[in-house]
Amino acid sequence: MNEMMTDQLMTFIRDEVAVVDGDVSADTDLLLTGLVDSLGVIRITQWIEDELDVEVPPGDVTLENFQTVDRIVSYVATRSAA
Amino acid sequence: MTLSTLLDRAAVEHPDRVCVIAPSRTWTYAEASEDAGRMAAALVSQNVGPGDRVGVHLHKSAEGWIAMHAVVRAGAVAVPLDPGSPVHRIRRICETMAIDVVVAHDQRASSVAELVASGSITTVVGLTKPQDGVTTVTIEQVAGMAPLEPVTVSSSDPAYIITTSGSTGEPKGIVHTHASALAYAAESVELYGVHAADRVADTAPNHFDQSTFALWSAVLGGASVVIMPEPHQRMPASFSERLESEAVTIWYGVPFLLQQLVLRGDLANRDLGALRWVKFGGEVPPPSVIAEMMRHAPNATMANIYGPAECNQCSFHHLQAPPVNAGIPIGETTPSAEMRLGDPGSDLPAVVGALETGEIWVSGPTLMEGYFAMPEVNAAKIVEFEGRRWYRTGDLGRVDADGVWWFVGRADHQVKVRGHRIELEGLEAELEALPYVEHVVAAVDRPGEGQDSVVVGVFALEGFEPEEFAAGTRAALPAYAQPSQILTLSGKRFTGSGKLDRGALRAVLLERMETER
Repeated sequence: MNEMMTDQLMTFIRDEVAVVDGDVSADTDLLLTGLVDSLGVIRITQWIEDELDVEVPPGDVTLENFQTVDRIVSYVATRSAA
Repeated sequence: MTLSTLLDRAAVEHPDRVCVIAPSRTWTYAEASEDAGRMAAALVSQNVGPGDRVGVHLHKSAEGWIAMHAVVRAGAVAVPLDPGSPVHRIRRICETMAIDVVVAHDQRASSVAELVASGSITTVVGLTKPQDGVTTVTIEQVAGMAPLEPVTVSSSDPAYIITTSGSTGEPKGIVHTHASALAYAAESVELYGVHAADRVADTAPNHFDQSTFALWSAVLGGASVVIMPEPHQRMPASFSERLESEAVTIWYGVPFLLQQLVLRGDLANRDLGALRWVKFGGEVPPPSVIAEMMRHAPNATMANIYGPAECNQCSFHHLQAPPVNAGIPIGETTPSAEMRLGDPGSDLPAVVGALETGEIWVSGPTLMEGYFAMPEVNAAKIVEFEGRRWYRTGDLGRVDADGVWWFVGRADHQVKVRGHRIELEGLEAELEALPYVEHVVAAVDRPGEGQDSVVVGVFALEGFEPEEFAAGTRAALPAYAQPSQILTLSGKRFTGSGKLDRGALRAVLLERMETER
């Protein structure tokens, strides 16, 4: 499940969110590399809510939870478990 | 005084006061000035001298802040480069502004490598490892230098250059002198009562004129600067957390960020009681956003600031209560500035009171020297009148019966997207240079909730591939100008004189965006 989500998320970010060219792997820093800008963060949040049906409260959209694909996946896992 | 001595003097007066606060480290004034001195020494060791332009290619960071001070300390001219810009654009800036030396960080190493490969720069300062094919002064070597005493320059010498894109897409450099920079710094310290206990949030990228408040005004007022790196800015909840934990007292930012903060910053769980000024400029946030921010920052006065990068700030409007339907004016002129309305067709501003709406002309000590190496543009935009220099802003304004100024629109096709200034015609010209396109029209889609973005319509030629075109736009445009949608258009429209009717086509494009939602 997590692996699939990781792949889907990487593809989504690379193809639809990234504002600069670059590799997206599970541990790429999405923010420092400039791959994801503010709109991108919003789109990733919406993607999690729409595709995975997991609600993301604004207070959870933090560096800790969203810096890499890996972190997003483990955040979603905690949310789903809750 | 000049900018070259600004930080050094402050460090002599209050060496132990906190100067710059990054997430990982804090610098006192003495430490920041020493680091700036070492970096300045490194620049001078590479023969950088007064008047030379030095690129500052760094993210929002304490190092970037210190590097700006280092360049002016060496008597040179700082040219902050947009870290979100594609290399080809940065290369054009380096070539147009004749920049040989760039201060960079490893984070920008790949971009620097491409700049080196293209032969546009000769020297890089600040990387951890030497770069092939170019003279490198590593960060370790910089740390080993003896701090340089500020180089004496004249207040009429250039100090920094803010670059924008002109209407044909070419880089345009707004040159500020030590005098114009300090005139703004002194005036803003006075207006906002910047003092030792202030903690100024630094969100604006250095290539953005708003950054001058945290760069120069904060130091002149002896305040501390709280660096807000880009990742924090993209995560409103992390941003608000830092505003609270660092007890920020003054924040000057773009309305987009303010809107993000209100919508997604989890403000209900934050204490922003320390904030006493929230200043925004460039655009006006929705009234609901201002009202919300007032609720969460009860001790802050909201200020709408007006002033193109060419003059930093020329007017302000302070909100004591949430705005009502009437909108938000750009208010009253700063004590040092004068604004007049001019007939866009005329070479001189009109007599006060003669025009209801017109182009805003600005005069005052914060006005730039001019655009870098663009005598014709300068002659058209900067006009001598009544013994003073006036800048024609290209902004349309009006003055109401109470003498309050209002921003009405633009005389050209310049737009703002999330605070960034974009010339639609310049952007179109850049994309029309890509293969297999006949024409490109661009517009700004504003679907609400702070999600403004550029959208692009293409009249394609045989052989057009959407994927290739999208890759081309990523290579040609800075991140903030990247289109969120690329649509192919058919059915050209022409003006009476037979030219492509870009205005009508932009409207068509936005209608398509609307119907596709």
